[in-house]
Amino acid sequence: MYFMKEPLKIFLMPYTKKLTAFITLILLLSNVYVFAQVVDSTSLVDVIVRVDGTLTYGKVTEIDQEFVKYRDSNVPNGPIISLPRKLVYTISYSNNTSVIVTPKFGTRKIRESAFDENALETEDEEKIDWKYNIQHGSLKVGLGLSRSFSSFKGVKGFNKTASAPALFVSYTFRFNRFLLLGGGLGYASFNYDYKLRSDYDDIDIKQTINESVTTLNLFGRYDLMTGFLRPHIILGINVNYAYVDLNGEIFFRDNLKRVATSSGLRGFKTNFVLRGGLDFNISKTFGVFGDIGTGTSLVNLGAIFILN
Amino acid sequence: MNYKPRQAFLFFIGILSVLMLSSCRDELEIYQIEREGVFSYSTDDITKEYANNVNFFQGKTVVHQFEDGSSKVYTRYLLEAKGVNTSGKRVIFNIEFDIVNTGNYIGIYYPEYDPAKGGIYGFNYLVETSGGQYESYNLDPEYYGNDFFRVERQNLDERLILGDFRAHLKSDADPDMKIVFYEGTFKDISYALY
Repeated sequence: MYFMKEPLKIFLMPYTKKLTAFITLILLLSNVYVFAQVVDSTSLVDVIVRVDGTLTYGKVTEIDQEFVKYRDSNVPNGPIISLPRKLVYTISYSNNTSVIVTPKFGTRKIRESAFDENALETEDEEKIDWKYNIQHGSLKVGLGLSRSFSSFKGVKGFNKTASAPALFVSYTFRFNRFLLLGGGLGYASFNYDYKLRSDYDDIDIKQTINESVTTLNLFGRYDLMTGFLRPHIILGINVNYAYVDLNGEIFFRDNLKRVATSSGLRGFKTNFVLRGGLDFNISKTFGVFGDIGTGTSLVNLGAIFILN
Repeated sequence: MNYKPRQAFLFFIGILSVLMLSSCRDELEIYQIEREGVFSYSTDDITKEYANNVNFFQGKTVVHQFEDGSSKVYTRYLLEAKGVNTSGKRVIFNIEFDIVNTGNYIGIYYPEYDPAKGGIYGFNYLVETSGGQYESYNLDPEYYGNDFFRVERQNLDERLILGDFRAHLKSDADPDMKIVFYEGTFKDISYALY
């Protein structure tokens, strides 16, 4: 206080007094510095590690059956914030002790906010950031190698002929750690032919069926594991729009008459989808997958493009 | 789930419902050959009559004695057709013919045997009388030259035969009562291989 009140007088002091005053000043400053250190090291900042790996700094005031309550370290006199227990993996206290709150730790992509009990409106304890999750989904592009859906399965006398593999594109986004939602579009074509040359009946019949199926697919996917290998189960619904043309020609040999036939079919048909598969994420942005089950194709193989 | 995704979900379900409810289906015209055994005949060259229960059986192996004293072994077949005529009387045809058993039935058979092919062994027609009895008719030897039974085509894959016949018959009880079958046809009659 002396130096504060009389700052100029120090220059007028004798040398010994100046030295004494300087040492006194150093000691005082040292005390202040040491005090600051003590305050910092015992600043009561606890570290809350969430299950999604993010860190929150604050002073934990209470842990009850549902919430971990803390004050934000940036707002020491701010409100108490309540964080659902299941979002908290562990708390590392300032006294170098720690406690595991929820023994589950992973790479959650969802964003969940803490529950502020002082807020005017309360929200669900797990608020899902749909926008974020939808923007960070994954795009799958694939081929169906063995087409299983067709309106004409088992039509007597018609044989399936070569046609291009089914194509499909789907987009999935995370709903929670294990459950994903998605939708997709697919296209498949099927060709059949029927040829009969019958000397017995004196008749020749040729018929071809061209069927195109466009599929809108909505599904939920449950990941059995997370990581670079992701076995999963898909359950969903396919809405198929079938576009079918049949062209035929009948030749009656006995009276040399030839009759041309043409007919078509358009319509919707829905079927449930149950598939099992495996995603192999080669990198953070790319992977390959395969699955098998009901739907447009028996077996699907393709690539995954992950949007990060 | 907050309100907006729920609203989007309901909207989507609504769209799907509309799509499914408004779906339409035409019919494809697929042409295929339906097999149905047919046995038809006419007794007046005008009215076509049908027998709807037709069977074709392989019978025993027989030896036919020719007039010149020679003989040949044949396999006997029976074509049996049962039905109701336009008078509402039950009728039964039993046509027996002997052929060389090569698996190929195609040929024209007469009451007079051809040693190379065989011939008609018997052509029997039973018709129900008013008393519930049956009257029997058999080939009239006077018209042997005009009677025939022909297997015109044979479908080896489906084991079917088709052909036609003509027969002049007389009553066993009263030889003056005669009946002629014109334009007799049979089609898609299945046979078994032994």
